[in-house]
This record gives sequence, structure tokens and C-alpha cells, in this order.
Amino acid sequence: MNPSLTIPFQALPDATADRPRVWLELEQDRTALPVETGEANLTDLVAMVNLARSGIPAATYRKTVCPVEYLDESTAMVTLPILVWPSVLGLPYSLDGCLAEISGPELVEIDRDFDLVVGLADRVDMGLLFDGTATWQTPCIDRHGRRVAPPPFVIEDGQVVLDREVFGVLRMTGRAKGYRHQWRLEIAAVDENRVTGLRGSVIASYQDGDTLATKTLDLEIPACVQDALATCPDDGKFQVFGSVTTVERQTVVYYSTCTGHVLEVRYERQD
Amino acid sequence: MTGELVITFAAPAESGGRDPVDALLLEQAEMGSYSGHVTRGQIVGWLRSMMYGYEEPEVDCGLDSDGGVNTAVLVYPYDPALAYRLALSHGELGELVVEEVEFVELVHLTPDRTTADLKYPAQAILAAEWIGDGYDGTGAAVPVPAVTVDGLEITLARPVYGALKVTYRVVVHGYAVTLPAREKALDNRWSSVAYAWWDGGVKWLSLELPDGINNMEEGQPCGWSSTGTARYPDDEIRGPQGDSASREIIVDYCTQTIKT
Repeated sequence: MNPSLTIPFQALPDATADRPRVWLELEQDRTALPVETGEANLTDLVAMVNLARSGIPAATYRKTVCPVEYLDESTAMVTLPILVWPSVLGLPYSLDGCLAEISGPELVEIDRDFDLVVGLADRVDMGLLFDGTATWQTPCIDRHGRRVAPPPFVIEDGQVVLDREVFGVLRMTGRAKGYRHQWRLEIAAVDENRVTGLRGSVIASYQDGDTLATKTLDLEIPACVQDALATCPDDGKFQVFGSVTTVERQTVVYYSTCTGHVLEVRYERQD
Repeated sequence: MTGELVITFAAPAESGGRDPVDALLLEQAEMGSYSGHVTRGQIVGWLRSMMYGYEEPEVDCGLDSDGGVNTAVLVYPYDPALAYRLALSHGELGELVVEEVEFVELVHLTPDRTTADLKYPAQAILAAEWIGDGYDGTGAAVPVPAVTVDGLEITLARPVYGALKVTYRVVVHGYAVTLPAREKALDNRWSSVAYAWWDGGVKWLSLELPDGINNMEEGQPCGWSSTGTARYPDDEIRGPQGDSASREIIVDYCTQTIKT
């Protein structure tokens, strides 16, 4: 017997029924943060040893791809690219970089290749406008542990929408469309205070129907930026760092701890 | 708009009317703590090798000689006789290794419960003893309650704040995992999901990879950058001027500033 329950209803007008889904995601552009910006590795070690061997303090070594530059002896500019993934190209939004300036936008299409886990669901958010292919990497399994035929699916509106709920893993290969902005933070050295513990964030706001929606992204500041800022000199004064002594002569190297530039190298005969 | 919503009750034919059953715990074996990082010891080793010709130490990026990631997946079945299957979305599984291990777990109890939940599915509880005192909701010390172990359940005579050291036996199924790099993949070259299914349910686990591995370029040796990054000193000359031969400089060893 299959008993039935009948519920009369009167539908309320749904303001969102015909309105497309509006969303926006923020991402730090890690393609602009190559591994060289992270912690020291053996390439850095060899370069530093070679500097020391040639009579120049290893501390002058700077990673060339670090996203920090010195505008003058006491002002640094940190630049980090941000990606904005809107639900539709042209979605109005604004970005607040807190203490930083935000430049852009620049329309970008970025190749992406990633796994998407369909975890007993009939739709999965990718959080970006994606144009590409999706291939099952696993058999499809239902919530009762049985293998089932892979359901048809479509990629639309930043989502993979399936005919029915399953578990499976899709390999997504294609291009994502969005905008790139530059987050630029100017830092001035004050007295003898060194800049440490730098944090950054971006807040995006956009209109979702009648609601002002926001998204926040905490930025990862590369280790090389922290290193560079931590050794910035006191108010632009040059500092002198040590000396290297060889058998026949003493070498003194003057350099700016802010820029890493060698100011002068002196050779003094050992009597 | 008005209408009628008709709901017909029927046991779902395809599920046999059963609810999904949680039957196991999936876990990935821990990566080496320093996988993907150049340690101080390795730096010292490299300095030795550069200066004195010692053998160069290797940096551990969690990769084997073929460029694959080696890790392991651990399955803790609630019932050791559970018939389940385990697979990967990418990579290869090794042979099943069954082990029975004893775990010691410190369970923190609060006054809102009189039972202790263990992290892993216990096959037998061997011991349960209090560590330190018990406290009531006001923070006042109270005698610890009696503990009863009945099968797999630990029950307290009354609830308290306190810590209970529980020793229990667990059956773990271990599988070695090898994740080769995907050829032609733009990124996420080693990513993989382990999934287990059995009559009654499915569980999955996205496998973690060693730090920094997704930033490595193809063919890049572990611990090295793909490109040279040194900025060597330029020709810019500024700062102290004068006859170097007549200068005597005393540098503070600690602060590295010129004293005279």
C-alpha cells in the first residue's frame, strides 16, 4: 500500500524565480607568485655562497622575481595580482584593498586543469566561469554504495549540473574567464621601525538583487617580501654590513640593506 | 498560484528501503614533516659539499625517482569483516596490509556528556583511566566518576570536566599509494581522490600532496628553483667615499654596524 498525503498550497510570489544566480569569487593569482618567491632553496644558497666567495656579503642577495620594489631608499611598493571570477562578465563590482590601491581590471582567460569531486550531489560549484571539458575519472557510485551509470551533466553558470546525485570525480580542463587587478601597497620606512607581520586583504562588493553582497580575500604575502621589508633601513640611511677577509687582503663591502645594491667595495691590504 | 502537493509514501525500490550505512573511516598517512622544504641540515650538507667536496645531500620533495608521489591510505573498518572496495581517481594502490594496533587517546570530557567518543573505531577497549582531577560546571574540583567499559562503549557515572586516557585496539588496512605525474596536465598534475564503497555507502578523501609540489616545473630537481634568481650587484656606486687605504673600520660583530 502506498498512502498519500495531499497538501493544498498557495505559492508566494518569488522575486528570485526568474533572476539568474549572481555570484563573485576572489582568488590570489598564484601564477604570478612563482616558487622563487617562497622560502629559500638551494638555488638561493648557491648564489649566496658565490656572492660570499667573491667578497660580497651574501645578505645582499635578493630574489629578482620578488613582487616588491623600492621607489626610493625609504619607500617600498608591494604588488600582488588578484583574480575576480564573476558569475557573468560585466557584473558591476567594486574592490577595496584596505590600505592598498587596486588597479585594473584586465580581462583574462586562464587555462585551468583540476579535479572536481562530485560528492553525492547533483550540482557542484566551481566558483568561476569555465569553458572546457569534463571527463569522469572514476565510476559513479550512489549513496548506497552501488555503481551506477554516469549521469548526463552540463557545465553552466559556474556549476556542473548533473541529472541526479552521485559520487564521482571529474577532471576539468579548459579556460576560466574573469578579471585581474593589481593590489598595490606603498610602505614607507618610519624612523627605525622595521616592517614585519605584513597582512593584506581585498573586499569585493556587488549587488545580488536587492542585497549588497561582499566577499573577502586574505592575501598571502610571499616570504621574500617579508624578508626584504624586514631588512629595510632606518629612514633611508645606508648601512654597512661586515667585511670579508681573505689571506692577502681585507675586503669591505658597503651596500644598502634596503635595495641590496652594492655601494662600494674596498680592498685593504693585510700587513 | 494555488494547487495541491501530493506526496506518496513508498519505500525506494532501488535502495531496498535502507538508509546509507557509515562503515569505515578513511585517512591518509602523514607526509614527512619536511617534505617540500629545504631544511637547515640540508643547507649545512650543501655547504659541506660545495666547500669540501662531500657528497651532496638530497632534499625530500616527497617524490620518487620517477617523479611520482608516494603516500599511503589507511582504512579503519568498523567491522573488520566489512566487504569494501578502495580505488583512486588517479594513481595506483599497493597490496592490502592488515595490522592490529593499540592506540592511546586522551579524551577530553565536558559536563554535557556521560560517554566518550574515540577518534578511531575500536575493536576492543583495553583500559580507561583518569588523568588528573575532575571539575564541575563551576570549576570546582570534584571526585572523578566511575568509568564503565561495556564492549565498545565508555560510560561515566556522572558528567564532569576531565581527561580520560583510553587504550584501545584498532584494525587498520594500509595501502601504499603511488601517484605518477599526469602528462600534459597544466597543473594539479598529481591530484587524486581515494574512495571506498561497500554495500550501503561510499566515502572519499582528497589526497594531500607535499608542500610546493604544484609549483614545481617539469624536470625541476627537488629543492632548486627552475631558474636562477640571483640579482648580482650592479655598478651603482654611492655612499662612503675616500681613500680606502687610510681607513680603519671597526664593525660591531652583533649589529654589523660601523663603530668607528
